[in-house]
Amino acid sequence: MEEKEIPYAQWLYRIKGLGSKTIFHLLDGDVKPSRLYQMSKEEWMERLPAGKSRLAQAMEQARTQYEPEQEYRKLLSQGIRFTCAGHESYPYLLAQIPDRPFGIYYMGRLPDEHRPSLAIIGARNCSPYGIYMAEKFGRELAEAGVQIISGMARGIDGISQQTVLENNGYSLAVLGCGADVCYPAENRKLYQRLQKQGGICSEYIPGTLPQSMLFPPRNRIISGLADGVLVIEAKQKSGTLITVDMALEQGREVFALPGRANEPLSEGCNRLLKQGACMVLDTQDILRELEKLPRFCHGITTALPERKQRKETDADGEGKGSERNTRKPGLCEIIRKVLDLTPKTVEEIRMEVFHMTDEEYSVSEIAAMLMQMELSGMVQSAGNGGFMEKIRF
Amino acid sequence: MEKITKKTVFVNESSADIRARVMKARAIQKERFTGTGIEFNAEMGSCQIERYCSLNESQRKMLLQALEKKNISLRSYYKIMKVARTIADLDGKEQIEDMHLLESLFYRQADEKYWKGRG
Repeated sequence: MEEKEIPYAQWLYRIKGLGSKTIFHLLDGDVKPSRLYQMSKEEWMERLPAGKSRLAQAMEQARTQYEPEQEYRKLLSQGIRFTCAGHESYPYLLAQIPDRPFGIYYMGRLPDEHRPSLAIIGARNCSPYGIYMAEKFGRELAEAGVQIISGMARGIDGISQQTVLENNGYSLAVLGCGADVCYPAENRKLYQRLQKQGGICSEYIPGTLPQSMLFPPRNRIISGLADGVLVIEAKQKSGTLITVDMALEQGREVFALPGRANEPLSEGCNRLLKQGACMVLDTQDILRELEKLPRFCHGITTALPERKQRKETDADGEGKGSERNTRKPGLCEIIRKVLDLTPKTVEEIRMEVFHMTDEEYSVSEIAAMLMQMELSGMVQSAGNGGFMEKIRF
Repeated sequence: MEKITKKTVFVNESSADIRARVMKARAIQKERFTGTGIEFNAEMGSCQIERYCSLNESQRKMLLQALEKKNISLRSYYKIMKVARTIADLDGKEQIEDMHLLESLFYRQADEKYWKGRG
């Protein structure tokens, strides 16, 4: 399909009541959208599927009210582009799924079909473990040149995408609202960065506000745009698992990260693994599977670059800081022993410190020490007042 | 066995003691702000904060480091200074000490959500 057809395809796509299925039907037999635009109402009625002939009225109305090229220029001026099935910019992987949308709106750029793409999905309300894993995989996959598709949601989605961008990777967000609407609003910075460094796309018409019923259908696009889906954390009943179902229907690879057996946030993942999903312990597990895909039979560049030397200067400069508070020497060491990967509150830490040393520190002392340790990168806040050991990759 | 016999609850400062401390801190503040038209640390404007919450060089460095590391806004920066001033008052100290500043930073952190507005 030629570039000049895009405004007409967009005109067609916008008509209320005209779904992707009907559009595919209308364009059957290589009819061009611009040709369709010029047809008479009677011709439309003939072409429309049985029982849908009244849609010709809506089309007629759209033709009188809407000047396709002018309106498309308006979209372009907002930074929004449109692509439709049959056009060369329409994503190759998406074109293969059965219920693909006729068109998608996008900002930034769409994934490069010659490089592997992976969807990273998971709970909005994720645990610290989920956050670290999302960051770890986001970083390593970005370094390996894998394009990350996700939904820009709170939690795993947003975190993995953010990390990918921070590591100069490519990421695409598929939204459940218009591509020009930032939802959730708290991810505005990510949204803006995606526009520049990655992409944002949506099958919904610009200006569409987020509605709960729009999200499950967009999940099919997330998995549809990817070679595989990596589930970081998911409860047994969750939107994440809807995406996995879609991925399976589309024949996509499913990867899952194992978690503890009694952890509700890992239950979805663990069950997927039990059913035969690919267990992911590190990034190589994913890259190995992606390499096996037929479309990469000629090989992909998956060599993980030498891991960059951690900025030890940071820790050094702050190491002096730990001597700043010398009132109770040793407290720092004791707290380090007390903390592990399960977040603990100040009161819990205080109690365990007491059990270890028989010394009663005040809440203020513990709090101040934790803060100092956090600044020097020894512990990290898990939110809600909890602290845990700092994980280093 | 040893663990079981160990206490699991601390005997904390009594409310009466805390009240006495708070009253003392209020008296300090009243005296501090005599003639300025305000009564409490919370009401300080930026000029007063610079004047009454003076930090030494290493403290300032620490705070700036925290600012950067934890994405703290300038608005919060002043709030942290004010809270540190109050903690020092409760401790009966003229000068804000490292401990006070760190504790103040900690409180800001305590109600931070798991989602830290990344990016």
